[in-house]
Amino acid sequence: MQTTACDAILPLLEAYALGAASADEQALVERHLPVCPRCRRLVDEFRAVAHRLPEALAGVSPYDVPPGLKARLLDVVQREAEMAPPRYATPPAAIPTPTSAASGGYLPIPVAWGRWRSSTVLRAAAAILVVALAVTLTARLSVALARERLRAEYAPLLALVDQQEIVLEVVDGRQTVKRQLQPPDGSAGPGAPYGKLYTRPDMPHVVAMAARLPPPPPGQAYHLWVTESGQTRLAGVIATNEDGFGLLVFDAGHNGPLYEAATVTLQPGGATSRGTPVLLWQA
Amino acid sequence: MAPEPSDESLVARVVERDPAALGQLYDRYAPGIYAMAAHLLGSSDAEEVVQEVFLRLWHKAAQFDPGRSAFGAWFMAVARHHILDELRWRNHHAGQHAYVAGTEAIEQLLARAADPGVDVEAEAERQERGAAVRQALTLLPPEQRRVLVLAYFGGLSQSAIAAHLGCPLGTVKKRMRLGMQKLRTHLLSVPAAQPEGTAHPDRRPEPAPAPGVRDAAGSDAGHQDHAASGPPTAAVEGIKPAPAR
Repeated sequence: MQTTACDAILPLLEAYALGAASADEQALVERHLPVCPRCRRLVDEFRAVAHRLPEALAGVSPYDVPPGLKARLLDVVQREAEMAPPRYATPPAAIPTPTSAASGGYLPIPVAWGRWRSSTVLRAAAAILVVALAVTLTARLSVALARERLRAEYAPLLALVDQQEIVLEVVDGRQTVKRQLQPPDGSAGPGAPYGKLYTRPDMPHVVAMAARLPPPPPGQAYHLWVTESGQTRLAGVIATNEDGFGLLVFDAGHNGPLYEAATVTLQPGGATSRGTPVLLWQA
Repeated sequence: MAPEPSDESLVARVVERDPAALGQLYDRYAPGIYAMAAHLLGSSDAEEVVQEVFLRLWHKAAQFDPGRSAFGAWFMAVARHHILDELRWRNHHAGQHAYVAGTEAIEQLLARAADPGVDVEAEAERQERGAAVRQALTLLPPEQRRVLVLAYFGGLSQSAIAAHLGCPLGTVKKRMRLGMQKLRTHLLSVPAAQPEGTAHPDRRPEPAPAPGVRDAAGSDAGHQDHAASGPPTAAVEGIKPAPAR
């Protein structure tokens, strides 16, 4: 039997399935769906219909998938498949590091510049994470490079599954907040450096990445500074690879850090105040 | 010839780290994702998008729950979210026109495909990818097709669409409802890109999206009839306009 609630909800389902309903309408629908299997099925059907629109576009669009893309993608996953067991089949061993206790005893995330530099394990971890994130976050790092590094660093990769999961959770979460860092002059052309800062309201972990950065001069490094509640602190150093891609994962100390600003600077290692900004974001 | 494996069986193999299964899903879904991304973000970034969403699938396939949704809808939702998120991130200073710009070319292409001079029925018979959807689009008046394109490809809310088109919110709501209902009615009687009869049995016991769906859905008289025959306009118009998200 159709309920009164359904009468009110039915006119909203098409827009809801398209993601075009207002926030109020969306909330109404989401309160109703758990108790109404028939409306749920209708939403499923509308969604299925909506998500076939790209299929229609593909048939008439002048844009065809580049022929080599599939081979490159499968090359990467084939290599991973050969190296790693099925996901979740074997829990990876935790990496024992001093930072484990600092971050609640379960997460090996560098929280300070000194620790970051001093830990060989974490440097290896950073290299692997750079590879993993480079593959997923930027096309600038070639797949061939990723493959070579994955092969060379097979053992650390296995030990890093936990951290990879964390990074992917932060980057991919539905509630993920992403901030864009740009050069101070606002340039955003094809070759301009850029950065991204990812936070989640339900996690203390923060992922920062930067790309297209020129190699730092000898004795200098890229530092990430974050400002929260008016206080600016050093989050860590972004080590870059030869493609100018760098990644930093750190623990904000509490869930959902609400940063007001983030700045990547170029300055000597160990500095205690901000140097020359190369990328910045401000709320 | 052996039937093509279902999406759901392929994604189960992806969870078990089978690259060939990922390759088959790539063949089915990459063209649509790439086309959407190329129109909205540009062809160079589209390649990156395709790589990212398929690598994400490779790493997170276990998150797919076949009891909750069809794989195609789930995965395309992930891909669309990724593309629109990138679009918003890139254009957060540019305003709404940036979101709309890419959809105009899409709309023109889909409208051209819906031109009566194009023999889309013949295309459907050849089971060319997407022909069924394009044929369904021929049933829509241009104004209904336009709101669907703006909503799906542009990621615009109904309020934003109304503002963009300069028409009342109620008109947009009505066009969207009618457009979606017509597409649904048509497409649920036409096999999807996925091989016929391979929908997950736990999720939808009745044959879907083969013609049996409509018969089975017919027992859902209240919902299905309501949805298929068009909404009472008063009900649509009676919703108070809400602010755009």
